[in-house]
Amino acid sequence: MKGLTHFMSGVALASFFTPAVLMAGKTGSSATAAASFILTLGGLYGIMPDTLDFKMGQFFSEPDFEVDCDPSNPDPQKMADQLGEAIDECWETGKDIKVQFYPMRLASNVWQQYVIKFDGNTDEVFIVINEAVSTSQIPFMGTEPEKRVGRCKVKANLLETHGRPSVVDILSGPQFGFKKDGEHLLIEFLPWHRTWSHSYVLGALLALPTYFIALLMGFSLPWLYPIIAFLGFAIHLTEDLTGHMGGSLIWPIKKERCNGAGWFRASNPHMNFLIDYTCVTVIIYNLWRITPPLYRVGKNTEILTALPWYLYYFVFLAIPITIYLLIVKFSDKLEDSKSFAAVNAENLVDEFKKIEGTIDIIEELSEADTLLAEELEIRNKETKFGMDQIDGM
Amino acid sequence: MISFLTVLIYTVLGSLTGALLSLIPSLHIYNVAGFALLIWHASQSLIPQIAVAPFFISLVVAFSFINTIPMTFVGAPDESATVTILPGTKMMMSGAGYEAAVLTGTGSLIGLFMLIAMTPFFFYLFPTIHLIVSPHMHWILMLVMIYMLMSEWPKGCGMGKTVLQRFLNAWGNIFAGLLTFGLAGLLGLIITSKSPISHEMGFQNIMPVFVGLFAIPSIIQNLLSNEKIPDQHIAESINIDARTAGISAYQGVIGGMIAAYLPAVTAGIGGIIAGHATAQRGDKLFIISGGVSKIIYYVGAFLFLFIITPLSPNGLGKGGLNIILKPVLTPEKGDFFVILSVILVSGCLSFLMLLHMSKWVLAFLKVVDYRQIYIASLILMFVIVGGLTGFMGLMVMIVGTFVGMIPVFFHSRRSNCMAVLLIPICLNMAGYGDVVMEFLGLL
Amino acid sequence: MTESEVKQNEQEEVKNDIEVLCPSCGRFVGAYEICPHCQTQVNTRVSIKLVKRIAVIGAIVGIILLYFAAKNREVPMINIGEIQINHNMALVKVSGRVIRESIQDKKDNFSLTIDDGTGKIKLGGYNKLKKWKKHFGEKFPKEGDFIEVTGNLNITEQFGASMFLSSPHRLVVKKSFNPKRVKLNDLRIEDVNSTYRVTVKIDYVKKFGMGYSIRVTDNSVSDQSAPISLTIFDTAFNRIKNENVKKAITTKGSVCEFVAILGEYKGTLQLKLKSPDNPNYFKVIEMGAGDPYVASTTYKNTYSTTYVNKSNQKATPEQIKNLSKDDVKKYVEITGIIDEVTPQEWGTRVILTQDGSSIMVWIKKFIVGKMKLNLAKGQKLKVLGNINDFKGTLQVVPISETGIQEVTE
Repeated sequence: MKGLTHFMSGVALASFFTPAVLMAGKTGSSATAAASFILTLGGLYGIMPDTLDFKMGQFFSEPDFEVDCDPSNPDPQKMADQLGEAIDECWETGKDIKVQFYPMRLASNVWQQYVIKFDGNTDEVFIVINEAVSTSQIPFMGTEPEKRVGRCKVKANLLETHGRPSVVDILSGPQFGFKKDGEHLLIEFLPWHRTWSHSYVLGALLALPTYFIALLMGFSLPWLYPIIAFLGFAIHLTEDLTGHMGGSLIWPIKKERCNGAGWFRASNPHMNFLIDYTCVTVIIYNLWRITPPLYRVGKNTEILTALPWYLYYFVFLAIPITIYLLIVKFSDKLEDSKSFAAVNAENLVDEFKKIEGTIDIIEELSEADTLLAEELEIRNKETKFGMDQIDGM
Repeated sequence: MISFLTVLIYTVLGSLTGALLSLIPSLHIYNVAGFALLIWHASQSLIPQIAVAPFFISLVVAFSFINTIPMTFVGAPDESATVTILPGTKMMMSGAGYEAAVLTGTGSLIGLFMLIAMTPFFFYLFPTIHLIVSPHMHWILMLVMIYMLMSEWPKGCGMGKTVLQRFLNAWGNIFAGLLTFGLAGLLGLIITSKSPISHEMGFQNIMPVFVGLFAIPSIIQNLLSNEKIPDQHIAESINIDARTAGISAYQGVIGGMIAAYLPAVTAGIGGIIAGHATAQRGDKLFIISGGVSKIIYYVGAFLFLFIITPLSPNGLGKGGLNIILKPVLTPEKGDFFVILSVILVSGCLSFLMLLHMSKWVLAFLKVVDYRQIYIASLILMFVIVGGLTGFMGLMVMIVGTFVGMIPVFFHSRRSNCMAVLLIPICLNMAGYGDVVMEFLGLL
Repeated sequence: MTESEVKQNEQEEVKNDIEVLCPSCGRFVGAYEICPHCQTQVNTRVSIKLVKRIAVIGAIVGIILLYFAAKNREVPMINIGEIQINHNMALVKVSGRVIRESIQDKKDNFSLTIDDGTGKIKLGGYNKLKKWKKHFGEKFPKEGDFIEVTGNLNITEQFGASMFLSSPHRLVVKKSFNPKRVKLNDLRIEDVNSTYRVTVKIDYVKKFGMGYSIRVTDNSVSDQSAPISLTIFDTAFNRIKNENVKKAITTKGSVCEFVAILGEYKGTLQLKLKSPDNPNYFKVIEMGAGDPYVASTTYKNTYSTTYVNKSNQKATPEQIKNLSKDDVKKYVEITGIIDEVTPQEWGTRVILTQDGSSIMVWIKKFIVGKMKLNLAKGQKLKVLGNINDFKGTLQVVPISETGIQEVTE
C-alpha cells in the first residue's frame, strides 16, 4: 500500500476509540473535549515503518559492491561483470553480499536508463542500456548507446524470485542482496526494506514512549496513547501482508522476511484509493457518532444526531464504491496500469530476447519492482509539486 | 435588467483586469486585491455594491487561468532547479510550452464545470460534513503537517563512501524541508501573534510574508538562471483523450477540494495528497489536474462563502479573498447561482484570453529578455509591499524571502513554507496559541 | 547571429558545462557542492553557492531580529469609533467599559461588549470560557468593569467590528465596576443605561406570564419618591442564586439593596436587575412580613403612575474654556463654531471652538442617522450633551438628535 493509505488507515483505526475522539474534539456535545492530538498518532505510526526504511534504513545498508557506471562512457559488459563477480563471491564464500546500483545522470533533466535482469534458467545476469530519459521518465528516442547489452554467466544456481527486470533511471538505484541457501542463491530486491522496520515487536517498543510522554504531560488516559500508536504501526504491517513482499513480522525474534498473500500490488491505484476513501468515510462517521455536532435552529441549539450505521455505510460507502468500480470496469481493468519505465523495460528485454533467444519473460510483475517504481514515482511526483508557487495566499 | 448589466459589466471588467495583472510573473492577485479594495472603498458612490463580488471573483477566475502564462513561459530553470521544475516548464523547455498552457487552461475549464456539477453536493452534504469535522479541525491540520513532513522522501541519490556521506547526500533536501518548516512556522507565530506591521494596514498583515516566501525566491531563481527560453511551437490542436480528462478531473477535484476546504492548505499540498491517494501518473495528467485543482482551490474557496443553508448560515468560505472582502461583503441566500454564473462567464472569457495572450507573450519574449521582466516584477513587489505596509512590511518580506529561498535552492518542497499559517492556525484552533505566545513572550 | 556571437555562446555553454560537471570524474553534479560520485569539492557557480548560504543565515538571523522587533513592539491603542476596514485583522488595544456580557457555558464561548465613548465593540472569546474563568476567577470581567484589551480586529459588513480574544493575559481590568449608590429620587432620564446601587422597599409584586412586575420605592420616609417599576423576567429571576434574595424580592415590604440598570419605557423610568447571578449585587436588609408573591394572587390595578418626567431638566449652559474634569457626567449646553467634521465608521467627530478653546463633540452613528442638519465647517452649533472623559480628553456626547441645533444669528 502507499504511504497515504497506511497513514489514513492508522487514523481510521484510532477513530474507533470513543475516549480518543472525545478528547480530540474541541467543543460540540463532548464533555471531555480537550483539543487533544491523540488521533494523529495513528497516522504518524501508520506511515512510520516505510519512513524508517526509506529515510534511514537504506543508508545504513552498506553495499559490498557498488555499480556506478560512467554515464559518458556506459559499459554494460563491465556492469554485468561487476554484478557477476559479486554473485560469485557470495556463492564461493557463503557470505551475504549486497550490490548497490546508481543512476546514470547525464544532465539536469536527463538520465541514462538501464535494466538489470537475472535469468535463473541460464544462471546469467544481464545489463541493458536503454534510451536517455527525462526526470519524468520520458525517453529521448535514439539516445541508446551502440553497445547496449552486457551479459555475465555466474557460477551460482540463481533462484530468481524477483521476476521482471529492474529499471534504473532517475534519482536513485536499487540494492540487491544475495544469499546462499543450500543449492541455490537467493536474490533479494531491496534487502533493507521490510525487515526490522516492519515488525510488530518494534512497533510495540516504539509505541511505549508515548505512554511516558502522555504521563509526563499530565494528559488524561495516558494508556490510550501507546495503544493507538501501536495499532497505527500494526495496521501498516498487516496491510503490507496483502502484497507480495510481506515483512519480518516478529524481528528480532525471527529475522527472515515472510512472504505476503499477494492479493494486490502496493501501487494498485484503485485499491489504494478505495481504502483511502473507506478510511475517510469511517473517520467521518466515527466523529459524527461520538461527537455529534451542535447547530442552531432559530434561537435553539440542536444536536445533529448520526444516521444509523447501516444506512450511512450503504449510502456513503457501498453505493459510491460500486459506482467507482463500475466506472473502472468500463474504462480500465482493475489491474493497475504498468509504469512507463516498467513497460519500457519489458519491451526492451523482449527485444533482447528476440536477439539472444535466451531470456524468458516472466509475466507477473513482482511486488518489489513495483515498490521501486512507486518510490521513484513518489519522488517524481514531489518533483512536480515542488513549485507550487504562491498558491498559499 | 440594470442589475444584470451591472453584474455583466463588472464581470468582464474584473476578468480583463485580472488577466492583465496575472501576466506579471510572481505577482499574486491577492497582492493587488488589497489595493483594489481600498480604491473601491474610497469610491463607494461610483461603484455599486452589487458589483463587488462579481468584480473580485472575476479577478480571481482570470488569475487562475492566465497566471499559467508567466508560470510556463517566463523563465527557464537551470541546473539549480533540476528536481523542482514543473511538467509545464519541462514542456516549455522542449518547445511545447503553448500546449502546456492550453492543457492547463483546459483543466481549469473542466474544473469550472466540475464546480457546477458538484452544486448538489455543496448544498446537501458539504454543510453536514463541515459541521461534523469543524470541532476536529485542529488535529486534521496537524495530520496534514505530519503527512507533509513524513512523506518528503530524500531527493539525493544516496551516494557516498560512508554511511554518513550517503545519509547527508540523500537527506539534504529533507533537512532543508524541516528547516523551512520550522522557520516558516516560527515566522508565522511571530506575525500572527504580534505583527510588526502597522495596524493601519492590518488587513494586509500576511501579504508581505507571502510575497517573501513565494514570489521573490522564484524571481531570484530566474534571475540567477543561465538558461534561455527555447523557441516554442504553436500547436494547432492538443492531444487529450476522454480518459485522461476524466482522471485529471477526478484527481484535480480531490486536490482542489482539500485545498479549498482545509484552512491554510494550498493547492500544492492538496495536490500532493490527491496524487498519493489516486496514485495516477503522467505529465499531461499532472498539468490538466493542476488546472482543475487550481480553479477549485481559488474560486471554489470563495464560492463556498455563498453556501447558505440552515447548517451553514454564514457560508463555508475560506481563503485570502474572503478575508479581504469580509468588511464589504455579506453573502446572502440565492447569491450562489449569481456567483456561479459570473464564474462561468469569466472562466470562458479567460480561457479565450489564455489562447491569445499566450501567443502575444511568446512574441514579446522574443524581443525582451525574461530576466528584465523579473527585475521589473521585483521592483513592483517592493513598491506594493512598501507602499501598503511600509518599512516593517519590507523587513518582514525580506525575512520571508530568506526562508522561501531555502526550499528553492535546496530542492525541498516549497509547500513547507505554508507552515507560516498551518502552525499558528492549528495551535489557535486547538486553543494552545496563547500558551505558545506566552512562552515566546509575544503577548 | 555573427560568428563572434556564436563563438561567445559556445564559450558560455562550455563555461556552464564546466560549472555543472565534476572536475574529477566528469559526471554531472548540478548544483551539488560535493560530487556525489567521488566526493570531490566541486566549483559550483558562485551565485548559487552564495544564495544558498545567504538564504540559511539570512532566514535565521532575520527571524531572530523580527522576533525581538515584535516582542518589543507596543500595541497601538485606538478609539473604537475610528476603526476602518483597513484595520481588519490588525492587533490593537482598546479600552472601555463593559456594557454587555454573554456567556455560553455549553459552547465554552463568551463575549463582552465594550464602549469607549466613541463606539462599541464586541469582544469574542471562542472556546475559551473555561480557560478565562480559570485565569480570572471571581475577577472575570463583568458588565460595568473598565477594561483594557488587546486583540485582533475582525470586521465584517454584516456585524461591523469585533475583536477576537486570545490570551487572558491580554485583558486587564483597569477598574472594577462599583456602582454609585443613589436614591430613586435622584434618577434622571439622562442617566438611562447607567447602573446604580439602590436600596429600595418592595411596594408591589405581580406575576405575569414571563416574569415579575415589581414596584419599588425609596426606603427612607424622608426621601419618599414616586415608585419605579422593576421588571424581572423568569430567565433573570432563575439566575438569582440566593433563595433568600428571591423570597425577599417577591415579598411586599422587604427592603433590599441591589444593582440595577436604569431604563425607560415610553418616557417612564424603570429598573432592570444587573447580573442577577452575581451574589455581590444583592443584599436583603429586611424581609417583608407577608408571604412571597405567588402567581395565583389576583392583581388589582389600583396604582396610577405619578411619574415625574425629569427629561426636561435644563442643561447647564457652559463656556468651553470653563469645562474641566469636574464636569464629567454633567449635562451641559455649549455653543461654538465647527472647526472640523470627521465622519467615522461608528459616528461623527466634530471639533467645536469658542473663544479659542475647543472641545470634541462625538455624535454617535444612530444620532447622525436621525439628524436633519448637515454639519459643515464654520457653522455655529448648540450642543446639549453629557460631558465624558475619553482617555484624558473631555468630550461632549449628545444623547439625541435634538441635542444638536444650528444657531442662526
